[in-house]
Amino acid sequence: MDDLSGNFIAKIYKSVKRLVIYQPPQQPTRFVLQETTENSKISCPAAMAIREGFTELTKLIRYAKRLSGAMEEAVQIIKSVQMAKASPTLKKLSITLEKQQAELNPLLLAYDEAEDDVDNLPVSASLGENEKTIARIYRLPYNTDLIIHRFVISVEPPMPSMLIYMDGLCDSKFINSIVLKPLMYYKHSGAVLSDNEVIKNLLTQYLPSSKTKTAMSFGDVQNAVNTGDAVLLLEGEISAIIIESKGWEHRSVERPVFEQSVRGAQTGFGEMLGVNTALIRALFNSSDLIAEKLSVGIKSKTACVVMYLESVANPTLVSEIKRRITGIETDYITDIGILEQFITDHPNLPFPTTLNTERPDRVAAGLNEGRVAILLDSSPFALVLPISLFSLIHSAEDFALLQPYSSVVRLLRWVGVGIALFMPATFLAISIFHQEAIPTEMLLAITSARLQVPFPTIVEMLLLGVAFELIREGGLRIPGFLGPTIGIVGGIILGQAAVSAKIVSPIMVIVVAATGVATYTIPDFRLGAAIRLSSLVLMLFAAVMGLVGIATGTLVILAVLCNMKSFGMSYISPVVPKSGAGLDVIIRGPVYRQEMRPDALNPKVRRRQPSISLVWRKQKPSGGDSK
Amino acid sequence: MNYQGGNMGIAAGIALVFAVTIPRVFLTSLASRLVDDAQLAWFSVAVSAGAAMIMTKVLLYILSRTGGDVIDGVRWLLGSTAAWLVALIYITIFLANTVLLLREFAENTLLTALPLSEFSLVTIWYAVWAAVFIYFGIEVVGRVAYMVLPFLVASMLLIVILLIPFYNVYQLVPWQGNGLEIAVYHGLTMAGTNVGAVILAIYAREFQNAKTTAQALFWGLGGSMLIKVVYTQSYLMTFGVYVGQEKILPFFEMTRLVYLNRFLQRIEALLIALWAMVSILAIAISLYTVVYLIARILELPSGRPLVPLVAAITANVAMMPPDIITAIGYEKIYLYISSAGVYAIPALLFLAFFLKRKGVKRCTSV
Repeated sequence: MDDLSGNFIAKIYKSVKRLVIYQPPQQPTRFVLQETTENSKISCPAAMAIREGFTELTKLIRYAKRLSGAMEEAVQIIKSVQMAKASPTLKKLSITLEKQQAELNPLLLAYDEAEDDVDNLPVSASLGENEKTIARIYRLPYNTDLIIHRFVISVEPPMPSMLIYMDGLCDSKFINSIVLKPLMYYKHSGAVLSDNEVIKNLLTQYLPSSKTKTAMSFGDVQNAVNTGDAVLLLEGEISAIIIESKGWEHRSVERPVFEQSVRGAQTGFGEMLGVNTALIRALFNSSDLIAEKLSVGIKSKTACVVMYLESVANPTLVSEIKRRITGIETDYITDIGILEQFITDHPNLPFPTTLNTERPDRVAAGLNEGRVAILLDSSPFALVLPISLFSLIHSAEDFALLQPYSSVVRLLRWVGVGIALFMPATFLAISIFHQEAIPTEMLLAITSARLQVPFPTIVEMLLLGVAFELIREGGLRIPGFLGPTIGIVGGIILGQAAVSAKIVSPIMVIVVAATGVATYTIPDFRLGAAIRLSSLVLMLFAAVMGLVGIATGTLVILAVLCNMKSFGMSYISPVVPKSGAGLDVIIRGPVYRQEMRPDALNPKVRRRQPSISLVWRKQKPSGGDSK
Repeated sequence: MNYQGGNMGIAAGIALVFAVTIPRVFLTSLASRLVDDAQLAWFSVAVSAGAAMIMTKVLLYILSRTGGDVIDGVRWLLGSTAAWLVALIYITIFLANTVLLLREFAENTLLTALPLSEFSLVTIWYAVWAAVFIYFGIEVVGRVAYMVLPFLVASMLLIVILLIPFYNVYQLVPWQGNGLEIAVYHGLTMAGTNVGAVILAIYAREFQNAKTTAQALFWGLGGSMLIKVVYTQSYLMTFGVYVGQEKILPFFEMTRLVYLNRFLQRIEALLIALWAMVSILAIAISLYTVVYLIARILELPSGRPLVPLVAAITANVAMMPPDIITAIGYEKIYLYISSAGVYAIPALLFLAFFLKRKGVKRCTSV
C-alpha cells in the first residue's frame, strides 16, 4: 500500500475509511485503583544491605564534606589576624565535629541504618542530619504545615538552631514572645554557653517557660510536635528541648448539649483534654484523684487519661482498664466511642457497658463510688465504668432533686422502658393470636379500623416503625432548628396521610408513637437504641408465637443481660447477683442514707459516709426554742 | 465440663430449685392429686415436698462431708461403677422429665394460647429455645430464673387473691378426703414430683459452699411447696373435688374465672407468658442437667456440642405419644419411678457413708 499511498484510489479509500470507521476520541487512560504492594520494608536481604550501605556512605560523605569545609574555614582563620577572637568558634566547631564523628562509628552507623523505626533514632549533634531526619519523618516538602524555623542564638560562639512546630497546633504568640524572642534578641555582652551545659543554661536563662523537657530520640520529638509542642534542636547537642506551647483553637467550656438538667451543674466537657481533667478536678478537690496519661493509636498517638480515686477504686479494675487501653493496636482512635468499642466486653451487643457522659459532675459522682473515668483528647465525652443497666436509667440531676420526686421520675423512666420494650410486641401478640384478651368494644374498634388496611399487622407495624425511625434520623441530621420542625411536621403529616390513605390503622399510629415517645424517657441514647432493637426482636417473636413468643424472647434477652459483664462487674448488678447498692438502684434513697458505695464495684473502702451523717441533729442548736 | 464453677449463690440455687419443681402446677397434676386424695390433696403435696426435702438434705449432708458433687460422692463411697449407674439413673430421670414437660407444655400451648398452630412447630419451638437458653450456662439460667421468680410468685398469688369470691372454705375441712393415711402414702410415693431438687447435689461444685446448697434447698423447695399447697387449696376451694378432677389444665381454668371489670377481662391470655417462661426455664434446667451429667461421666471438656443433639432427641421423643392422655399416663408412671432418685440414691449413699464415716472429715466447701 505504501507505493500506492499517493494514488487517487488510495486517497479515496482512506477518505471513505475515515468517514465510515469509528475512531474513538483520544482520551487519557482511565484511572483504575490498583492493589498496592504492602507498605513494608524490602524483603530481599541483598537489597536491604545495598540500601543500608548507600545510606551509610551518603552520611559519611556528608560528614567528610563538612569536615573539609571546617578545615578550610580553620585555615582561613589561622591566616587571618583575628585568631584570638575566632578561637571559641573553632573550639565549638571541633567539639561538634567530634560528636558527629562519634555518631559515625561504623557499628553505630550500621545499627542506626538497620533500625527501620525512625522513632528510635537518636537526636544527632549535627543540625543538618537532624533536619534530614525530620524531612524524612514528615515527608517534606509535601507536608506544608510543619514549620522549621532556622535561626542563630546570639551567644559566643553563635549557635545555629532550629525550632520545629506544627502550624495551628501551637500558640504562635507564645512561640514568638516566649521562645524565639529571648533566644534571638536577648543578647547580653559576653554571653557564653558552657560546652557541657548548653541545654541547662538555655532552660534556666533563656527560656521563660516552666513546661520544658529534653528529648533524646526522634520518637519523643515526633510526639511533641504532633501534640502541639515546639522542639528546639541545637547544633552540637545530642538532645532536643521540648517546649510546651499547645494552643490550637477550641470551644470554651459550655453547657452540656445532650445531658441538660433543670437543677445541678451546667458545665459540659469540651475538646481540650487538660480542661476536661481540670473540670473534674475542680469538682473533686482530692489529692488522691489520679489522672494517668496513656497514649492510644499507633499513628494517632491520641492522649488518653484514666482517672480514679486511688484510695477507693479497686486496683485490679484500674490495672485491667489500663491493660485493655495499652493493649489496643490500631492506627487511629479519634473518638471515645471508638475507644469504648475497643475495650468493652461485648462490642457486638447493642447494650452499652459504659456510661458516656459530657458532664463533669457525673464523672465525679462515679469516681466517688469507686468507678474509673476515661477521657480522650479532642473528645467532649468521658466514659465512666464499670456500669450496670440500672445506672444507665439514672439521670444527671437525680441527686439534685428531692428524693420523692426523683424516685417517681426514675419509676416513670422504667415505665418508659417497659412500654418501649413490650408495647408493640404485646399489641401484635394480642391482636394476632389472643384477641380474647381485648375488651369487646375495643376489639370491634380495632377491627373496624383495620378493615381497609391491606397489610398484615406485623408489616403495618414495621412500616410505621421504619417511618418513625426515618423521621427521627432525619430530624437528627438536619442542622439547626429545622430538625425538630421536620420531625414534628413529618410525624403529623405522614401519620395523618398514612391513616387517610388506609395504609395504617389509627391504633397502630398510637402504638408506634407511644413507643417512640417512651424511648425518649431513657436518659442514655445508646440504651434507648438497644431497647428499640430488643423491641424489634420481641415483635418478631410475638408475630410468630404470640405471648409464648414474647415470653421466649424476654427469657433470651434476660439471659443475654445476665451473661453480660461491664469490666468484670455483672451488668445487672446489684439485682443479679444480689449485692448492696446503697439505696440507689430504682428508688433513690435520701442522700444522708447513701452510706455505702456499690458493693458490686468491690471498692477499697465501702463506706462513703458515717451511719449518722446528719451530725448537726445530735448537736444542740445555739438559738431558738430552749426546750 | 465446668461453667464458671463455684460462682452460684443462694439466690440462684433457690431460683433453680423453684423453677424445676413448680411447673407441674400449670399442668394436670393438681387434678390428678384431687383424684387420689380429694380434699387432702394439699396435704399430699406437702408430704411429697417434705419427703424430697429431707432426702435431698441427707444427700447434701453426705456431700458436705465427702466434698464434690453427687458423682464425686458416689465415686468416693461406692466406686466408679456405682457413680456411672447413679449418673445414668439421674440422666434417665431428667431426660424423661424434659420429654414429659416438653410434651405437656406444647399441648398446653395448643389448648390455651395457639390453637391453630402446628403441634410439631410448638414442640420444636420449646426445644430449640431451651437449647439456646442453656448455651449461656447454668449460672445464667439460675440468674434469669431468679429475676423471673418474683414476678412469677406475685402473679400466682394475685390469681389466688382474685379468686377469693369463688372460695368455698368447707372444701378444706380436715375430716373430708380419702383419709390421712392414703394422703401420706400418695404423698410419699409421688415424691418424684420434686426430684428436681436433686440438682443442688448434681451442681454442688458450681455453688459457693455446702451452706449455700443447704439454704437454697430450704428456701427453694420450701417456697415451691408453699406455693403448690396454696394453689392446691385455692383450686379445691374454687372448684371442689368432683369438678376439679375433671379439669385438664387447672391453672388455666382458675385464671379463666378471674373477672376484674368489663375492660380488663380474660386475663388468662396475659398469663400465658407467665407459664411459658416457667416451662422454658424448667425444660432448660432439666435438659442442661442431662447434658451436664453426660459430659461429667464421660469427662468431656464441654457439653455444648451435645446440647442440639439431646434437644433434638428430646423433641422427637416428646412427639411420640399419640395424645395428651397417654402422655399424662406416662407422667404418672414417671413420678413413681423418679421417686427412686429421691429415696434410693440418698439412702444408699447414707448407708455407705455411715459405714465409711470414720475415714471422712468434715468439708465445708464443695
